[in-house]
Amino acid sequence: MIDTIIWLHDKGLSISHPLFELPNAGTPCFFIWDDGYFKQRAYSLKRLVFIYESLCEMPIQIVQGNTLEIFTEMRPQKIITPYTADTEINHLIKQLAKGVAVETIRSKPFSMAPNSDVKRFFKYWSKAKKTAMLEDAGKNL
Amino acid sequence: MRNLQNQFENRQALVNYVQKLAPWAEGDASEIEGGLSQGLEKLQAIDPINYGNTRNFADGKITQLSAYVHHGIIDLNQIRNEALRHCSQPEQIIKFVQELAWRDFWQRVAEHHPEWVWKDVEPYKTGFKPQDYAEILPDDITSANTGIACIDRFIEDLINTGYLHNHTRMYIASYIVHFRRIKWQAGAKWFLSHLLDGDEASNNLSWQWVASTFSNKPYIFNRENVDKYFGMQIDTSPEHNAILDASYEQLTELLFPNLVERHGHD
Repeated sequence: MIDTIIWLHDKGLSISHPLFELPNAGTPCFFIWDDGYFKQRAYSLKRLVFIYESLCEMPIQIVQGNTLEIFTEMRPQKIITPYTADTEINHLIKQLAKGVAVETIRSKPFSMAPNSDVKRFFKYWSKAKKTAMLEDAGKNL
Repeated sequence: MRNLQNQFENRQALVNYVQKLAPWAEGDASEIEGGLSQGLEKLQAIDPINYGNTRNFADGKITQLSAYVHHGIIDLNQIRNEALRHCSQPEQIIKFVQELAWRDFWQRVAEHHPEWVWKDVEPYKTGFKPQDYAEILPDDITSANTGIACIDRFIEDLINTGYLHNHTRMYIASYIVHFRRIKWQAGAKWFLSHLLDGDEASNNLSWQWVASTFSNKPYIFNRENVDKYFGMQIDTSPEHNAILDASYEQLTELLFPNLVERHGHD
């Protein structure tokens, strides 16, 4: 049984993502080329080629198959994956989380505005701009 | 589970390989290439100071980084940090950073209200009900045969490159929802299959903004506006864009007759 796996989905194609800063060097990292997922999203060939080109520049394993089936087969104790607001990916994560611990890690923040419920842009911007205009969102302030 | 190839002799070999993996996928590859190296090249080329005054124009100093951001290849923090290196005063790049902030905003909205990604956030402010809008995109739109020169050209760009200037996204969305009275969801879904940066939150909520289900009023445009920003690049002549060749008052009357009537009685 594998201990921990890093799963990169198509909204988190970066090996500079903060999840790689976690103290687990050598953790296997996968991208799953899930035909059913892409088909459901009706991605055109343009989109698929763009994703594949991006994957080929990364030192990760690309495997083909159904995401849920592959993780059921691997039986990791934990899956670490980039956070996304994408509803399809989050649906997959919810299904995965029924059988295994899934931790989502956010990318570096753009602003330090509170992550509160917002509806109109300029209301959000009035809170966000102070740190959005600073390097690394003013994290060293 | 099988391991897939990650090295190819050339781009065409990669494209052929992906085509075999997904024989159902429509169209051809875009000339825009994926990958961190391409994203970094575009990041090095940003012009955040001149972006503010030129971004609405076809040849404006836009970054074309959105596909790399959507796929997490480059993040907003990196772009903002790079932009700050280009200016002596942060005020010089405020418009640029504000546009990055729109992406952050849409993601936050979707995080708190994932149901808004596909459902009307608010009623249409067009004088019409959701059921007044068609569910499906007609073929003349998806095949760039509307007969409106500028719209057809923008659609061709979408299909061929998978990229559209933000302004042209708004024109197409407005045309579909308001001129053709089709549900924004149909157009948003179509955009997501083609746009390399197609992001549920940014894309769908922007469509809702145009439709008026996530804004105070519908977004409309006319030929004069397209001509101002894209006239040097595409056919914006009155004879080939007849339906758009009107004032905003005329278009409001034409597109939203119920609103005009109601206002008339106020």
